[in-house]
Amino acid sequence: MGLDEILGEQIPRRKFLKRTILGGAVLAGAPIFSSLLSNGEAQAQDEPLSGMFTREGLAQIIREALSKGGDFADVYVERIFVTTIAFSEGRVESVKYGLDQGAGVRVLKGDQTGYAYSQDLELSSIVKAARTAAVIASGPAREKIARLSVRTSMNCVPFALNFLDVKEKEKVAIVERANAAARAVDPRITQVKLTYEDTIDSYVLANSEGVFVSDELPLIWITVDAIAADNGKKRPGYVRVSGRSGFEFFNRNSPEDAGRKAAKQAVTMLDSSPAPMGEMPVVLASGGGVMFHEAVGHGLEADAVKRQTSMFAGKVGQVVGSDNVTVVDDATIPNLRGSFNFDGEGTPAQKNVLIDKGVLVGYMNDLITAKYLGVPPTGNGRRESYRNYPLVRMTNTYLAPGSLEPQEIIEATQKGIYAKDLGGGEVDTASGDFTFGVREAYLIENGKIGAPVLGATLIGSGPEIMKRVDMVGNDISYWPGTCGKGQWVPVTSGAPTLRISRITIGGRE
Amino acid sequence: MSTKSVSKWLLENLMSAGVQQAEVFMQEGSTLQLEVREGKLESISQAQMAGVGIRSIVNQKLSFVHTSDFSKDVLKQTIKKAISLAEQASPSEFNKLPAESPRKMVMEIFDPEITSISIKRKVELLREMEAAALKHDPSVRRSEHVGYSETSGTVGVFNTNGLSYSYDASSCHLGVSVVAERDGRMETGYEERTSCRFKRLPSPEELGKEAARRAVLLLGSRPVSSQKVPVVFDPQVGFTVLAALAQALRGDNVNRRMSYLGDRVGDKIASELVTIRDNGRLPQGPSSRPIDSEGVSTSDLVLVEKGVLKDFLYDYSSALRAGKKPSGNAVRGSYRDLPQVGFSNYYMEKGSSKPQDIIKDTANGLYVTKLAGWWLGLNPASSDFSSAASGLWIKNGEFSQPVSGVTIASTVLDMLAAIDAVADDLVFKGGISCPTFRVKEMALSGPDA
Repeated sequence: MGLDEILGEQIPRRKFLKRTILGGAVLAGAPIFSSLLSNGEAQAQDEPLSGMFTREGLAQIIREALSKGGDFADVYVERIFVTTIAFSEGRVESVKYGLDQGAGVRVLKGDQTGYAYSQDLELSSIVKAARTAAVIASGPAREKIARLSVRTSMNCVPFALNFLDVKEKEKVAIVERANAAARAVDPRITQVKLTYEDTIDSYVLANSEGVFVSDELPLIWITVDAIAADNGKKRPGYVRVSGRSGFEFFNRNSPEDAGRKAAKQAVTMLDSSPAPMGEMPVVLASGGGVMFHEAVGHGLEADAVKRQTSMFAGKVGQVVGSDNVTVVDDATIPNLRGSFNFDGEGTPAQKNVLIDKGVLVGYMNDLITAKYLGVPPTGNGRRESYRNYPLVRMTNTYLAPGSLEPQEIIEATQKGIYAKDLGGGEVDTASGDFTFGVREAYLIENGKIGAPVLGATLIGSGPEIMKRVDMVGNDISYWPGTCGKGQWVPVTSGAPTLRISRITIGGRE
Repeated sequence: MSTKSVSKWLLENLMSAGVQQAEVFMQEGSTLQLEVREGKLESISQAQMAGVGIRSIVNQKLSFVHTSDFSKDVLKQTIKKAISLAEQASPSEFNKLPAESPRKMVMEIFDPEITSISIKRKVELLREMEAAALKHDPSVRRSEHVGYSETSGTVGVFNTNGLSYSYDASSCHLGVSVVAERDGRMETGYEERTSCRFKRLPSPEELGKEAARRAVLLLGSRPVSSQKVPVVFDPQVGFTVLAALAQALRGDNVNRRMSYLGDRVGDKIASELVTIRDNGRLPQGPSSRPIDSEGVSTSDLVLVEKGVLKDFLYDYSSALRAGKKPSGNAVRGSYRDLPQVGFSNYYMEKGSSKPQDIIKDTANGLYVTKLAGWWLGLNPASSDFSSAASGLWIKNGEFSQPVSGVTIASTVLDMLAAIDAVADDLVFKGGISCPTFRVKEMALSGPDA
């Protein structure tokens, strides 16, 4: 899938909604984003201030960015409305709301990046940021800047109920439902702590090659931390549910299910014993994608390949896993936490097969690494916010499902561990050593799930473990996460039930 | 409008809109990040930022709003929002703001020169750091990350109880990570330092060499098989035990009965070699501040003294609930965050042993120089600790082969109780600090022989 640019003058699929700090209808005085219309001028009802985001305003910023030479420049203007509810001990501790807005200007000169951002959205302030970013270069001004034309894409993140139109009372109700369900699971549940957060993220991006995109993305998550206590022992249970949906998310993702799941995990783990030590087979329940995110995902981000700090550098075409292993990164899966329509550089979201039946076929790229490797961009140039320049990041990374029934995989395992729920993980891409955590696990004895064991850290080396994936189920699901690499982006990691024939477990018995 | 007058305006308007107590947290300043690779500037990122976070208490209910837009109309709307939001929260008698005015304190946490030192000079520092690392050993092939970052600005806390305090602060950070290679396998090592003052950063050569040394020592590393052994923690990784204990030491978690340390003040929870402190006033401490992020004076708190649990950390509201004095431990990431209980200069006090003597005294065990995944599954309710580990095997009191591909596991409480040697090599590098120490026994898990 290459660039999908629509020349000509089209109205962006998503217009910026005119929102004020209250999130209601237009009020005078608040900075407004405008959409580009066929004649390139602001809509009639815009405030006088809003001329800054006309074609000419954006072009001015880009020209200033390239005023000292430079090969490329982009400007990213963003407004984020966020609502957060903190709930514990059966009550709403606090309700939080904020508007975070700013504009970041990036200039590339060869291998060098200059970046500056401003929280003030006056054109003059963004132009000043552009001038600051420009100092990475030191030559004559770039004269030729491509005319901006709107790029559209398919809509991977359709949503119905904008959070700004939903009363806080209804959001509190969601948290209360999850709390009530958690507490009802067992009298040994002594504490439940919940967080709700919703975000509406609107942005505009324009670059010196004439790309213009705009979009509005929702993101929602709730976390439930439950504590079960018995005989002086306390055990935690945890669930996070998240997606890029509007408030209708909760029609398909029941708060009660989330609450119950966290509470059940806590109660189950009250009976757990310490995990065993040594190497053994491990069956990961559906949703164990974190392993792939760490074992191969980061190593396949092309910036590490370019720097030669990834053990996957130079291995395209080589076998890096068993033939059960097909790993994909796909930002187009509808409404997942890691999905979007354009990455942070305006490249449309796409599906990228990274490993195909065990053979490494490609890396994830941003514009810089794509150019370096001489390949098309893959839509992985993401940024946390206007405060950051883009880096190669994952989106929804998953092991493609196979054909086995999950039960078959458990029954085929004489002795080992069943990892029902994973925590996060980390990796050293140079050595290939990765780790991931297990929140809820059980012994497998004679092909049956047995006693619960305490969460442990599992470790391995990327390709070595990938070659030991010997059974893959048909039941894929996606685990919501947040990936850190100097800046944070929302992702999912997906996998069906699968078995690793042998892996070291950080237990203590 | 100056920061003070904006705050005054906000507080007045909040009060007249019906808020009983309100707090304005102002933050403004500049940031700079630089990265160097192969002797050249790779990226530079700069910004000026300013923002305000407002806590409002209306009928004992708490709301929080933030914005970076200081135009009067937006601020008026922000106030309206703060009030309508509070309605959705639940009342609590502990929703109170500090009333005491902190005493003015002069702390050397602001470097007036830092923003005027040229970018060229800072880039030069990074080039020297990278060069020193690459020069250290022929196996050190390339750098992974060579970065400088700095923040400089003003923080102000103002509330309707008459509290009004602002101070300047700056912080700079050097970090270097390099790759060593042998026989087609790569290992990494890193070192970093945070300081309030540019001139107090250690020499770039020192940091570069140390990062290189840590990478080279792991070359050729192999796993060992599962066994229970003593583990000696190098200071760069020993902090993880303190980090694991941290959530359980938070007074708000204790109040919510989510901490495995709840009810244990006065109990011996560690060996008598262990004293742990959180000192917000540490001279030249990288996280020292005159006030916390609610305006309460910071303090030097002994959390664990010779193994005995003395105290928890509190912010104003959790202290009120627990019937304790607030310790000045309210922390925020930025003006966009509500304050919550957090740490400042959090560290294990140095002991009297020499690190080399601890090694000599270890017949058979692991000297850990790198931990990964230690933070997974950490929570205040249960104290399990399990981490990937790399380092050097100790045999008959001497370093022998490099080790990786193993895990070490125990519980935090078992580890603290089993600390049987603490060295005198404590250095405050930023964040959590500790000297070299040894844990008498941990479960080391590796592949079958």
